Amino acid sequence: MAHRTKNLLDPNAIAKGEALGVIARGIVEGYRVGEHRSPFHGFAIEFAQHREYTSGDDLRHLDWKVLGRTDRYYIKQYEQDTNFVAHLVIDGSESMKYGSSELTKIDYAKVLAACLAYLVLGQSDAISMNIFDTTIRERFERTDNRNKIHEIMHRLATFEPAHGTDTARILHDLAATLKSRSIVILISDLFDDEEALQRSIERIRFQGTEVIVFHVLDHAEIEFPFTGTVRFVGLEDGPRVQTNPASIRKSYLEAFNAFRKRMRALCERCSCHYVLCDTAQPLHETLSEYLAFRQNHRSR
Amino acid sequence: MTFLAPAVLAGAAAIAAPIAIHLLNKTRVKVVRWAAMRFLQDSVKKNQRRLQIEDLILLLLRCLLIILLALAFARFVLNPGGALDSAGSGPVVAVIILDQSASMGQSDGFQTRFDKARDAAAKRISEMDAGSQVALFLAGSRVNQVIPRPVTNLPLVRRTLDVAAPTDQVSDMGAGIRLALDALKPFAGSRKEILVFSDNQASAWPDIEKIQSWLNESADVELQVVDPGAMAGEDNLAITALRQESGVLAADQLSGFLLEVSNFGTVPASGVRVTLAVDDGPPVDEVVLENLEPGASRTIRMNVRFPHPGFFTLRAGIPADRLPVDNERAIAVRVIENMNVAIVTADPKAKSRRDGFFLANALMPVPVSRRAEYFLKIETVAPDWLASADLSRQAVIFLANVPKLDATAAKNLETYVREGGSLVIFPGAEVQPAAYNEDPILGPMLPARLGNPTPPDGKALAWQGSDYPHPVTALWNDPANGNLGTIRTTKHFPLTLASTKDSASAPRIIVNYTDGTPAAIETAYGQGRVVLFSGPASTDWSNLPIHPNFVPLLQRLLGFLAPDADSNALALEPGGIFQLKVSPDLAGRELTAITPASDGNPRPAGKVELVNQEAVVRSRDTAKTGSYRFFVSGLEAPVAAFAVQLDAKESDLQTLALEKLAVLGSDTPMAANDAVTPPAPVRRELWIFFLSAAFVVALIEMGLAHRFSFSK
Repeated sequence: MAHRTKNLLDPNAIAKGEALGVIARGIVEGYRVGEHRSPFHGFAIEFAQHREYTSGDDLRHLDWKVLGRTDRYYIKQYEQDTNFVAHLVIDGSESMKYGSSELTKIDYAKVLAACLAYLVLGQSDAISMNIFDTTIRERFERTDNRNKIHEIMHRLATFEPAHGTDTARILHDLAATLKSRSIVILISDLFDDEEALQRSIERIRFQGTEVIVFHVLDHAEIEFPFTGTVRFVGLEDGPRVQTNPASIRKSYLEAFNAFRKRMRALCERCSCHYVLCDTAQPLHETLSEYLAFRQNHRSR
Repeated sequence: MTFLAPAVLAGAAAIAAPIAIHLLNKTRVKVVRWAAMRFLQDSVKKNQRRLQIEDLILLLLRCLLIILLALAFARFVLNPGGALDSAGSGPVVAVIILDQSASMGQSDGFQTRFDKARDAAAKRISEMDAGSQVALFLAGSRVNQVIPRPVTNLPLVRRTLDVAAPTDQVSDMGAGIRLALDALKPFAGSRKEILVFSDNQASAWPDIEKIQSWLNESADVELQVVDPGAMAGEDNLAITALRQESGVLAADQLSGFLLEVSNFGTVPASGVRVTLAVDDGPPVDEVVLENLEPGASRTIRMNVRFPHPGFFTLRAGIPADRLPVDNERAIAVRVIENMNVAIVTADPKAKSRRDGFFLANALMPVPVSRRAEYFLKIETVAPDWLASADLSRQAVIFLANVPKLDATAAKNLETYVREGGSLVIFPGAEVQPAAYNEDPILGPMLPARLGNPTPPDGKALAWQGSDYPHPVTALWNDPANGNLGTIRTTKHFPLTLASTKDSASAPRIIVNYTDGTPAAIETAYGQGRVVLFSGPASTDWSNLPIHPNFVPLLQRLLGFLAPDADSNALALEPGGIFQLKVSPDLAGRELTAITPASDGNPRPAGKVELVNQEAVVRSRDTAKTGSYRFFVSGLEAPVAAFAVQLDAKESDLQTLALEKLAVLGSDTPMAANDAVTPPAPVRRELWIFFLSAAFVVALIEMGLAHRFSFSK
């Protein structure tokens, strides 16, 4: 499984919409093998009862199984009439272009977003997608049409980061458009103003919207394995720093781990799910771990 | 302080290497486009100063490491003027020069100087570090390179030292040091030393400046002189000379010998019994010196009567002291039975002609009644005798104021001299210079051309009063034997030295006038000799014939000219080669010898050799001073004899002033016995210190580099 997933995360493949779709489907289908319940079931409406079909009813709600067994036309009725909407908010800033291997953080985020899109659309829920940096660069309006998946994949695949980031403002703007029963899935490295970010997430949470944060980090950012004299050039027009990384590794890791802890704590304070995504770790592992956690959480 | 290998200091330029590497590392930068700059910037800001200090510390340590290595390999020396502390300074390549001269036999009653020097050398060898190499030279009149090249087998050197013994030779440290420098040349880059173990007798260091210049040329070689413990004020009484007074020694004649006794001590010597013995017999003459002041010498005349012709050896002795080698001195002499001398004068019958008269009386200084018994047989003859007589029977022929010789006489005389005869010419008023100079036979034989006689102007010209260069007149270099300077002449033939291509036959001046012109000259001609005086042997022109030294002068001249009576060939210095022609009948006969080493018993000494169809007794075993006599079976008398005499310089135990030895560069004489000489400042080579420091710095650098590499 791991080997297959690794092969699937080919950066060249991710850059093509169809291939990205294949990769996401491969990961998601692989996850579904042996599973009996979708982890996102809770997002769907609850089944209530059957009633006789009358003219004008939407044929999509016709219970075909009952029709097959009894030759009678029944319509499935639900407790609530609305589906959940998953808002994929993907950080497309320049800092996401970093990758110590061929796989960059944005590549990883694209595949992750594609997988989530498959999962959500696969259970007939709606999804919207925003790729942002300092502003929304790619917007895909809410849809529950599975056929739109290819377009989503294409949009994801063709996006190229080029600017800085302003995650807080994007989330803040998003919060204004949110309706109830939605989930905001933020995929970002979170290299931004932490306080502003917290305020934005708190606002979304205040509206009763669930937030899941996928914190995408490169393995080199987590381990800082550099040696020799290195000149670090900032990706978002940052300064240039020349140093001997080995001699400051400890100090760097302390600062970086503190940042990670702060991000996790922020999420905990806001009752969000925080998922650390190390690009060196196979995506299916990270995803399945989180989905398993989520399933268990719901079953309790 | 100084450096023994200063060229290596150039290696300190390698200090540029760590600096260059440091700078190069700064420029060899890997560029990484980075996202998490915020955290990186914070860390760099926090650690920048510390990183700079760590970099600087490592750079300084690396530079220090190179400087220390350069100092170590340049062989930094502290206190270069001090004595060398060889122990613990690492391996050394050394040449040990052990003084083997006779003065090293001086004893303190328990050990000789040689024993002390040998012990000191052995001690020094035992202190040397592993890997040291040592050569061993024994310095006598010749340097005996017993271990010519430095070897690592130090036990071998010690064993060789153990069997070394002092000789009766003089020593010349200069020659030993020259050879030692040559032996050390191939060992470039090593610590090189010349260790001299000597009593530093002044005569052993004849040319300090030359040694100093050699050492300056070999700056990497250290000279160290170790004094085995010579003490100032050591007394030594020595017989410094023993020579025959008369020129010719004849059997049954009273022969005079001159002994010189010298006091090299610091206190007067009194009651010194001086004896003279012949061969192995008891003393035949004895003198007691009542008082001999320090630094003074006394010449004593002693007489011996030889019973028969042949070879004799004489031994002069004084009471034993701490340097035994100069308490006895030997001389070998050849005693003849008789000698024929012909005096050729223009008119031998005329009593008034006094040219021959003075000569005959001076050659035979005995009463008329005893002349028949005298060994010298004189015949006064006319010039025409030369044409008919058998001249080979004559030991010496005198030409006394002979005007000219006819061709036959001249031819016979030339043949006589060429075959080994001796001719003495006293030209007088009858002589026309051209008759001698232009004579085709006689002219080439002369050592000088006769000039026209100077006119008697009333001014007397005297003979030189000192600095006599010739063996005949050397006796008068000692004023105690009289003075030839009182011989004056009012008229003489100016002598112009004949030019010659052969240095062996170059004319030698016997004596000069005070104006520097020759008064008497001699030269070799064929196997014989020709002596030419500038005036007659009469009182016509000078007081020579009536001068008190005329008799000894003629006697010494006889001794010099008579081939069989020459004892000079019978005196050798230690280690010399003795060679003497003997009767051809003896060729091939087995020889036995009584030598100083044979305790009076004859020992085999080879055979009488045949060299160029002449029988020769030859001996190279002449190391010990004393008398040597050679015998063949069937003959009771020795067929040859000689004496090996100690150089009188060895008896003078005065040592060279320390400051004089100190000019030989960085070393001062060291005493083998610390109690004798105050300790000299120790010269230290600090390369081990610097190497150790470099090692420590390297460890610190590695440790710090490792520590600094830990991330902070």
